[in-house]
Amino acid sequence: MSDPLYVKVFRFNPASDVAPKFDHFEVPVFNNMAILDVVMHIQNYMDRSLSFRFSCRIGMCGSCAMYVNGRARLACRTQVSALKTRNITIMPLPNFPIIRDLVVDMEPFFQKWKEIKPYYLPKKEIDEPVVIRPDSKEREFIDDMLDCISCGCCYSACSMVATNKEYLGPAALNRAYTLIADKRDAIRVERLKVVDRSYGVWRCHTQFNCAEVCPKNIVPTRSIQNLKRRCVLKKFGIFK
Amino acid sequence: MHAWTWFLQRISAVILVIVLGLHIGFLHFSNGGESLNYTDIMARLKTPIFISLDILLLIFGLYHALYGLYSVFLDFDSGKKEKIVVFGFLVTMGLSFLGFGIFGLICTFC
Amino acid sequence: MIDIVMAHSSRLSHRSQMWDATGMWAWILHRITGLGLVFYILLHTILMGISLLSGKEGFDATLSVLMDNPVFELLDIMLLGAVLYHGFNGIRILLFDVGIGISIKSQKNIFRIFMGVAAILWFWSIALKLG
Repeated sequence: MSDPLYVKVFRFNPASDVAPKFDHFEVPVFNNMAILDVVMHIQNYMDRSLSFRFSCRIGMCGSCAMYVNGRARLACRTQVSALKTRNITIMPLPNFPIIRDLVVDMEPFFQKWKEIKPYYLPKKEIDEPVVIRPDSKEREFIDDMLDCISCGCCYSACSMVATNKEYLGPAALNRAYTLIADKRDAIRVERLKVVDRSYGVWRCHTQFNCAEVCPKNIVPTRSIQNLKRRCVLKKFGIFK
Repeated sequence: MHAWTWFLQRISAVILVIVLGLHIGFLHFSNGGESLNYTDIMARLKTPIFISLDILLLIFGLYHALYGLYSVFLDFDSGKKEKIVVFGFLVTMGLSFLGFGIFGLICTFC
Repeated sequence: MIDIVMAHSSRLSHRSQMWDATGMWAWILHRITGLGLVFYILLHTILMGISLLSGKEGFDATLSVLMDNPVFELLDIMLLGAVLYHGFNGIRILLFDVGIGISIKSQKNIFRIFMGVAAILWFWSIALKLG
């Protein structure tokens, strides 16, 4: 590939700009180039004021989530060649307040994360270490859902998050599920009460946008559906 | 509350698929697509089965529809007061339409 | 603690819609047909109630307009389309509620199959009505 990429980047500096704008750059391509390479090239050689987050570069930290060509993606894990076009538009994640350029305020996301108490609390009456075999049925699909790196892609893709400020969102509900389904946890019932609210599980309408964008192939829809079932069963006195 | 109302929404959905299917089938497809008139409908309606079918349709149809509306409302930002007002309005609407509908069905025989 | 002044510019919420995703469209159309059907059920209840109570002549007059006027025949076809879409996608959602088909691929396949069946029923009904 000798032709360059035609990159449109969202720019907004609240200290100096009245309104957001797009800057255009022609970026040379190399083999296996990722979107993170694109913005780093722009920052290193073309415009030092471009702001974006990144850290590990290998899809583990969740810092570099951006909205690229119509979808929320991890910049480090999105190959330019996979986009199948030379025209690339890079914007900050939707559904988040913007701090500057491609950097968004993750605070609303983490506030909701905290609301479901995203940490394991051991039951006092059982002896540690508690053994639940890896192949035991009661792990259900918890294991698949544990890979979350809280990147915010699912949260930014969800239409319910867009229209309802209070909605907990797919990431928080998914994390809540992994703990509610965990028999060793001490506050499972309290957690279920938190998600059993109009701004909890009941706002999900199985749109699947979250699953489409998750870089870890998590399906939050599945966790949320499981939680809805648990909420109903609890009303009938059943809680496993 | 939401677990119950959501669950009832699903139950009403299942019931509606069956009852609505029957309703449309009997009304529009059982006489070869010809126009309906009062005599035909009265003949069909005067049986307890069909009155019950139509009342079921009213109850679950109205519930499903109005809870659906409420669900759309909740998908957007609103205050606690607004939620109560809208809920009350929808319940009132539902009961009124249900009452009128049942009245219309049954009181043709009054 | 450093106080950072955050810029809270308008949320790009319209960009959270993924116009290339089947699940997105399925949900939007379910909502649109749902709203249409709410409007219809309220109208239908009132209309039928009044017609029934107004005796034979009134009822037959109303019904002849509804059933023979071509405008209403078209609306009827659209109504049936809305009912079939909402019903079949509703069954798809019921499948999700009991834990069936909750993966990116399955939900799309189920949608395509159900819509295929719904389309067949719809076209068959139209043929019956016009034939």
